[in-house]
Amino acid sequence: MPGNKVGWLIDRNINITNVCISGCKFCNFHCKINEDVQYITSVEEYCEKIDELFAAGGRQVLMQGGMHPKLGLDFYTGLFSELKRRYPNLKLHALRPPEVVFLANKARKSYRKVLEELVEAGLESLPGAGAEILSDRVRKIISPGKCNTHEWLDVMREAHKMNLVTSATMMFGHIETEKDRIEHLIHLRQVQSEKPSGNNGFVTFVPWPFMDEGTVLRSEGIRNTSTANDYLRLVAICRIMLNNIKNLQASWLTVGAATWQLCLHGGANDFGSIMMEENVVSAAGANYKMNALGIQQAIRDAGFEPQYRNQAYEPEEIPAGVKS
Amino acid sequence: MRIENILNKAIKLEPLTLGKGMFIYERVSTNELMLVRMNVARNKCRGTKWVG
Repeated sequence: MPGNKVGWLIDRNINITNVCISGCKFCNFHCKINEDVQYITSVEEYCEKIDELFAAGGRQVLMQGGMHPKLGLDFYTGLFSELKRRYPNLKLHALRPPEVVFLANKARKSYRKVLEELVEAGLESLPGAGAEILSDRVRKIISPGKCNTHEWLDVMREAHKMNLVTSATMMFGHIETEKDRIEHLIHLRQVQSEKPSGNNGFVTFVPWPFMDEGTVLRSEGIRNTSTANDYLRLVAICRIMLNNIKNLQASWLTVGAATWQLCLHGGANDFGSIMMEENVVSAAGANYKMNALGIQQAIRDAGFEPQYRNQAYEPEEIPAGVKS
Repeated sequence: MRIENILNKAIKLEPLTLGKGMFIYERVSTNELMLVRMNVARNKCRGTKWVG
């Protein structure tokens, strides 16, 4: 690793709404449109959260779902434009392929057109969440309302042609087989190999274990039995199979700092972010917390040097006021 | 299929097939997998100033 550096950044998760039609059996966060707990985040609420983010030194928000049946493309373009008007320096890392497919179907537009309108409104990078396991057999069981494998990959192909920065993910340890995991990696490698030369493509890959607490899957007898050793093996095989994706982020939020530090010694090179206000995996039992100082200390304790970065994995100066 | 040959391919950043990937995922020790992926990571970042 050049200079022994390990990337990290400060960002904030903001959920646009908790209403979602995908019915994912691993998600405790979503609800139906007629439930009392349903919400759509207001612009004023975004502003409050973004002000907190800026005060903490961050400039990026990760804005995701759910897939609300009444919110179409115009809602998202209007929202992004308004946030960028109020915060021109804000970096919008937002939506996921399942949401792009959902919006495209709703608006009867191509993925390309939807992405172009979102980028025009302020979208700067597309997270690779919602991949879970790229096997239609698995997806039909755990995420019955989400896009299929082919659709997820096609959205990313379009994003890569447009040179959008994207990432890729995997949620493992539920009903999938080891063969499904390897096929998932081969799908990603294939899409990455098709990106136009010089374009960003998938800048990183992030695998994490299924968190089962209180989930429908657990009530059906599917438990997370992954050990630290399983995670290390999985991260290792990901690095080996994904020979054309440069960065690999281990998930401290789900496996904790100690296992994450071990992953650094096997080839992972990124911490991810401090993730202010993560709601989804936290609602299923992922309770680890880290602040900016803690992240940097964890990196140093593992024998590496922390390097602040942006979503495109470009190095940046650590924000003013953030202790190092 | 020999494990050593497959791991050497991986270190040289050659794409592994489903069969080869499954073979090493199922049979290679965690220590050896981690060592190989560290070498893969080094090869990926050779000549670059930064991880990205």
